[in-house]
Amino acid sequence: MKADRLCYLILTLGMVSSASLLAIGLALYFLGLPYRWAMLSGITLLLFTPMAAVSSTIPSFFMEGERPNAFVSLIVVLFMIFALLLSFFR
Amino acid sequence: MGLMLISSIFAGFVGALFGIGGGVIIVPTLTAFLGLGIKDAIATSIVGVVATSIAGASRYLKQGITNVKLALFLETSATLGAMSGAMLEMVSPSSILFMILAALLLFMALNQVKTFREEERRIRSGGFKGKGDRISNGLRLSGSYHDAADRVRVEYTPTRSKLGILMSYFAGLFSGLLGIGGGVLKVPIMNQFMDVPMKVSVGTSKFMIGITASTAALVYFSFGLVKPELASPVVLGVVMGATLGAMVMNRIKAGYLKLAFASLLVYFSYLMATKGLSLMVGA
Repeated sequence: MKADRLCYLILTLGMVSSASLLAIGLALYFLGLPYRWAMLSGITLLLFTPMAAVSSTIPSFFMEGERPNAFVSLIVVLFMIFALLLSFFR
Repeated sequence: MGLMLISSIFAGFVGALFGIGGGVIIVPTLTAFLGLGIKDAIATSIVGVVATSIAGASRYLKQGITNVKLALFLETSATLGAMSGAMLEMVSPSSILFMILAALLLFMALNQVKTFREEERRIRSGGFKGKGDRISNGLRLSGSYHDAADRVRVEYTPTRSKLGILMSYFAGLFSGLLGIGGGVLKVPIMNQFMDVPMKVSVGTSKFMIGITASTAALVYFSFGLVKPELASPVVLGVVMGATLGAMVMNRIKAGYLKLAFASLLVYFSYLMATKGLSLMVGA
């Protein structure tokens, strides 16, 4: 599958599912029922969506024969992981 | 809750329209009107920025406006710049940096105004399709999109890739040093320096912001600084606003979009100048 199409699908899926979970969380909050599980899952899903989208482009570019772009994507993913680790140990 | 939702919808809409995160709207609303502490406001806002980026970028990808290869290429140096900025934060004189950024934003705003008619002329005459350079040809960064306002298919080839990646590094550096969102710099870098059409610059910037912001947001989230009760309505609001903004953006004439973006740059320039001046006076 083309990298653009794959990114689109992952971003849309991430957005719809996280927004749904957050909406459920809000509804539960107003009903006075346990809500944190839904909100926390929604936020987690939301925050990992961009990384999932970028990671998905690596095999996609590779299969399209665009190895330099696969390498660029890999660098971005590694930088994201490095930035996360750096923030944790600062 | 109602005010939070309305301001989030507005932030998402403006963010999608101009390729920025929208934190500049969310943070003041949360602090000034809802009385939230600055830390809570920033943590909530950064989650909102990720949401507006995902919502906007997914719409722009569907419309063929986001250039994923260009976004990833520029993101390599932008992330590196943001990391260097975060590390240099302690040693650099922020007041001078704020003033430099204010001047840079003003210069970019003037450039946007100067070239607003040229953008539309080039869209209609196919003026964005050039030879490109070694990097943009090697990475196949060229692309095309359908401009809904001018009803033409616009083909483009990014140029001056080396300058673009260098400028992206500085955009990331300013982001990391001064805590400003990168979108306000990334859009003019692509549009003015790399010869990328305005709408593609907006769509591509939207995708890039999500990559940078999600890393920062994950740190806030893992340290327990994100309050789900606050973040949930903000996320839902910005998703609604960004979806709407991304539907509207391609229907606006690129020239008008550039003029509106120039006003935004002037506003950011004013914000940076006042921050710089207040730091100078404080010191």
